[in-house]
Amino acid sequence: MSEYPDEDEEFELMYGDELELLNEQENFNDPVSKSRKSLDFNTPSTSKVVEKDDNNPQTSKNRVNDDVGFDDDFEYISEASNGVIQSQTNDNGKRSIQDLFGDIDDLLNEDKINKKHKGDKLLEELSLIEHILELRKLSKEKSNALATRNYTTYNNDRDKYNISYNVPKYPFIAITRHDSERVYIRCHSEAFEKEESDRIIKESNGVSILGENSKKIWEGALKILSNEDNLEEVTIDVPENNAEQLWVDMYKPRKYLELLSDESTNRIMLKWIKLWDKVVFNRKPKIKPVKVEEDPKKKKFFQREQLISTLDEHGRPHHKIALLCGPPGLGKTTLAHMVAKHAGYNVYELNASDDRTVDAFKTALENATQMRSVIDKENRPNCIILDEIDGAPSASIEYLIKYVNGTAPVKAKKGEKAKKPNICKRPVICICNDAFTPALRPLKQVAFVVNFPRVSSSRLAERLMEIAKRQQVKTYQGAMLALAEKSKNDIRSCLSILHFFKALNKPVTLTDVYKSSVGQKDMQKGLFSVWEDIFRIERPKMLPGQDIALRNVTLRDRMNKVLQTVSSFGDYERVGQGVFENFPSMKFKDNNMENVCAALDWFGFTDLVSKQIYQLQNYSLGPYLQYAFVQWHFVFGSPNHQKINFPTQGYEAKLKTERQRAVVKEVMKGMTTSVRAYCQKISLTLDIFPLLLRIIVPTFRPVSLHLYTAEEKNELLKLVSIMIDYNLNYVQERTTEGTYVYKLEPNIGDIVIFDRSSKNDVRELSYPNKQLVAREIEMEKMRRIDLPNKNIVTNKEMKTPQRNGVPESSLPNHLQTLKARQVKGKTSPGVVKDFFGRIIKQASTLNESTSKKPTNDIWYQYKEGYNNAVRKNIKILSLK
Amino acid sequence: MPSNLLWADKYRPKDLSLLDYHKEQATDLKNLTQDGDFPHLLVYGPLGAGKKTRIMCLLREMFGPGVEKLKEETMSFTTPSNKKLEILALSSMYHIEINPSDVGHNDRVVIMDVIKNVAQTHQLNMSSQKDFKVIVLTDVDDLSKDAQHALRRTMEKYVANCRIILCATSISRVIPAIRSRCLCVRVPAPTEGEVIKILKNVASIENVNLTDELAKEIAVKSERNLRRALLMAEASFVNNIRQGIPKPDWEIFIQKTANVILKEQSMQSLASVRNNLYELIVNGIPSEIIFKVLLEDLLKPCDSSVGANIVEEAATYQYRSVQGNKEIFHLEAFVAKFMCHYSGLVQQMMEFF
Repeated sequence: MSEYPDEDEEFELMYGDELELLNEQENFNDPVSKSRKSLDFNTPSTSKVVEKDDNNPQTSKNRVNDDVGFDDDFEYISEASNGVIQSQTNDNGKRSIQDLFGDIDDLLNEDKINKKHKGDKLLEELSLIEHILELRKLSKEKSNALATRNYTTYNNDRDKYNISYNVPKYPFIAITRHDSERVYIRCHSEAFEKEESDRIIKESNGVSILGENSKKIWEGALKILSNEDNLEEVTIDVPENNAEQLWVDMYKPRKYLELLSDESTNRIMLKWIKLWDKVVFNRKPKIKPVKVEEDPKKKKFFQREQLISTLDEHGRPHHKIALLCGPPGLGKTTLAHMVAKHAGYNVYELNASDDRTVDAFKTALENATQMRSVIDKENRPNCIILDEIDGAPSASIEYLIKYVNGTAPVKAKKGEKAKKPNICKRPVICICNDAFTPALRPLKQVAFVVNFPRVSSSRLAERLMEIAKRQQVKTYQGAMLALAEKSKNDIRSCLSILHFFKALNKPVTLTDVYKSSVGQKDMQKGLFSVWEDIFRIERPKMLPGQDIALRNVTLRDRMNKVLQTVSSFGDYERVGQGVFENFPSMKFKDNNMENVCAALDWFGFTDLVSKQIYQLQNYSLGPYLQYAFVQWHFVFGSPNHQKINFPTQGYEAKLKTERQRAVVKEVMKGMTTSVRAYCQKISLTLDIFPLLLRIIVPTFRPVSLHLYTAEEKNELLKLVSIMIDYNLNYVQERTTEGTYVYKLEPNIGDIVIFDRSSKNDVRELSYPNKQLVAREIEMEKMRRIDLPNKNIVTNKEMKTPQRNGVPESSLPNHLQTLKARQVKGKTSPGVVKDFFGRIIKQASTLNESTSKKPTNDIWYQYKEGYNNAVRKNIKILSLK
Repeated sequence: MPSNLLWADKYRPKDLSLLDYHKEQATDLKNLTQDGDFPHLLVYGPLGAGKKTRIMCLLREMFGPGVEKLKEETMSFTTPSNKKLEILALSSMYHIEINPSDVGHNDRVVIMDVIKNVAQTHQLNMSSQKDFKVIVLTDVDDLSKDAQHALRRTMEKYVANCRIILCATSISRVIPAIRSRCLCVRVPAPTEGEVIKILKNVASIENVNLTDELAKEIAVKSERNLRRALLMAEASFVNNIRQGIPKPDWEIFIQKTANVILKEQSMQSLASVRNNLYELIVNGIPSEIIFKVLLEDLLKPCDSSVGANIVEEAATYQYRSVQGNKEIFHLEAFVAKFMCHYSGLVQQMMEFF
């Protein structure tokens, strides 16, 4: 068990002892009330009261419980003691009655007792809760005197005897409450009232149950309280002397209550981390259900992301990771630390300064989750805070997700460990500035994402004022408000600026704040906000105490603002593209398109300059790029908010261009060399493709090939050969409807036809025709492959005699084979003879197998690496 | 065997003496090969004028029919940044043809690496008439400045082993240093009469009926681009001249775009024009051609004074688009400028009436 639970439990833990004490004290109180009541014998209800008091443990609990069901309990008690009431006539005093009661109780059947015991337990718990609630209320009234506290408790006590919801037996006055409920208030005799008032006076003088002690205790408590206050003062004041320390650290919130960030964010983080209690601390199943009930309401109220509070089979919350995102300087890291500490964890932080490779991540995670810090005497469990996670490599983040989900590969060391993967049993908080980093995408899906809202300027200004006061910096609220706004509510930079002013040692005024360029961070805005700044003319803000000159946004101011935004963003190319693609949809004043012309000239200018910069590395031109944005702002800017779309056109165009190039390249690659030698790429796209698409569609009769006339066959052959020349073919494809179509491949139609909306004049062949053409193309291709082979063979044949005039016997094997084939193909008689003589000689010298070969068109070839080592090649020609 | 080709490929002359037009130039080229001192050549001229045809004829004249036995090869090399690149080359025993601009801004590496390698080796076949190899570089005007500078040294250094024939559409982007190292041969487009003659000739061999009017129309529509003229003729015959002479789709598309511009001068029409321009650019239509065709169509309704202005503007923006990177900016700027001028003109007309 560790300390620092949430508020409810904190009380339970901290005041546990006191609680018991109080419990006892109350019981102890009862006799007092009884003694008081015993004075009032003449009233009819006396007997009941006495009896109730005597029924000690039960009644006291019932009484505490009265908020829940006062009436029922009341009746129950009266029922239980029914038998006793009759014997109540004699004034025996409490002891005898108690005895009597006990006896009777024993006489009753045992069921009842058991029932009562059960009831006791329930009541005990309820009473505890009641006490906590009451104590909490009391603790809030810090400054209230202890005496009054006693008094109030006493009053509460007394009310139970004097106020009733149903018609009591004592004399009463009926009163209707504000919620139209009847309440009956007891009427006391005058003597009793007097007695009572005397007693109260006496008590307030310090003569209560605790007697003299009560005063002492109270004074002691007061002293402690005041000491605590002093301590707080001291802790903040001490670092004042310490000039070394940054104010940011000095005024860091040290308690949950001091957090400056949005309360709902704080709450939800705290709630999330409390969900881990089950698995980490193994406690508290009772508060959870309360939360479950509360949650839906709160969610609706805050409109935040839903925190799923159900636990998984390991008792862990649904989201294992919390992801805090928001701009810098709002206190994300502080909140994470505070919350973790508050929930009783030891913070294990990993940030950008640490090594964040996958391996480093792995060790860090394992260390943090599976070990406990030994040095820390409190022996708290770790809570991992991964700061600046947007900078981590995506592989590490993926590992983190796997690890947390328990799917990370665990190295099987000795077989047994491999069986159950380690599951992460510690909360992990990730912090990032930019939630849209691509690396974080998978993380966002599993994590509980908490977007950090900005601190309100007024709240920040208040705090700044406080600090300024402490630091004796002379300033006023307006200046601080301006400061907060200037830094876009960045607490850290505000403090730094303030610190800086302190060093200057002069009062801070509004103009100082506006003029100073100190603390102007290089703030990275999102792309959209940069575009927004360009397309929107900001209306001047009316701030109290502002100079009149500052109220009008001059062109100069606008220019400076745009320049600053754009140059701090840096990626001119993308911003420019965004402006280019968005401006046609913007509404702006422009007569006769002159302004648009000017703006477009600037686009041309940026293009020229950026080419110089990025392609020719002439970086000295860089500074000129940003001025184009000023011009665009002047032309396209309007005071109204306008919808900005993310520019995709440029990117799409790039993709399409690549596709077009790929098609051309593919055609080029497969074109017959004799044709390609004369073709340039550009003439392919400009002249050949558009017209070729119309040439390759002659009209064919839809009959089978052997029915074609010779002319038609020729035409078909021509088409086929043209298509082969330009590497085109029809490829069968299955459409989504399940029908088959033949498509031109590579599809030059795609890059040739522009106007897809209107009907174009390009015909297409019918399906059977395409099929026919496709088949013929394949056939023709095979034939062509065959043809050059033969040519090569013959070529070699021609050369061999020239090349080696060496004696035949030294011929290598493969050459002999080639020659052998030549025998058959030879037609020219002059050469034939010459060769013939040689070959015959050769054949005679060689073994029989080679000499046999030429007689056959089929030969065998050994292919290395094939298991069916001998393959038979059959020529297409031989099949004909 | 070559009977099954496109007309444009089929009736391509294979020998210098068979060329149909620029016969004087052909004889000059022939004479050039006779002497031993064959220079580097820079052949330039518009598309479809027959640059490549002449180069191949020239090579054939020098090395014999062996140059037509072409084979494809993929040459690979590594850039200084250790990137592996591949480039397709066509080569015969005597020459190699490369388009270095295929690899974009890495063309310098191609020039340095590949060409040096080729240039450093001697001609293997001693029996050939010449003792040098020829390197044909196409699309020289697309070469980057770096590559061109790399080339100029290579040209001088290995002149003993190789000659370089450069092929370009226009020499304006070829650096003067290279121009001065080459014999520049301009191949002008054939005249309309020549185109008609060739078309008629082809038609008679192909045994199709080509009327004088049709031949004339094709010659005009092809803009004296002989390749296009032949393709057009063939396409119209395939389609039985039903739909008239087909025009390339991009040309029609640019005309449509021009109509949009003339119809309405507003931001909305500018936006739709932009889409069209993007479409043209992504399909590989060079911005020069877009400018040219667009301008022709836009000038039609303008009178001479406004027209002169607009032509000047077009020239300015086209120049910039060549200088710059993103054609779309300059094209659109031109369109906006035209809209601005034109709407002013229309307003004047309205006042006049």
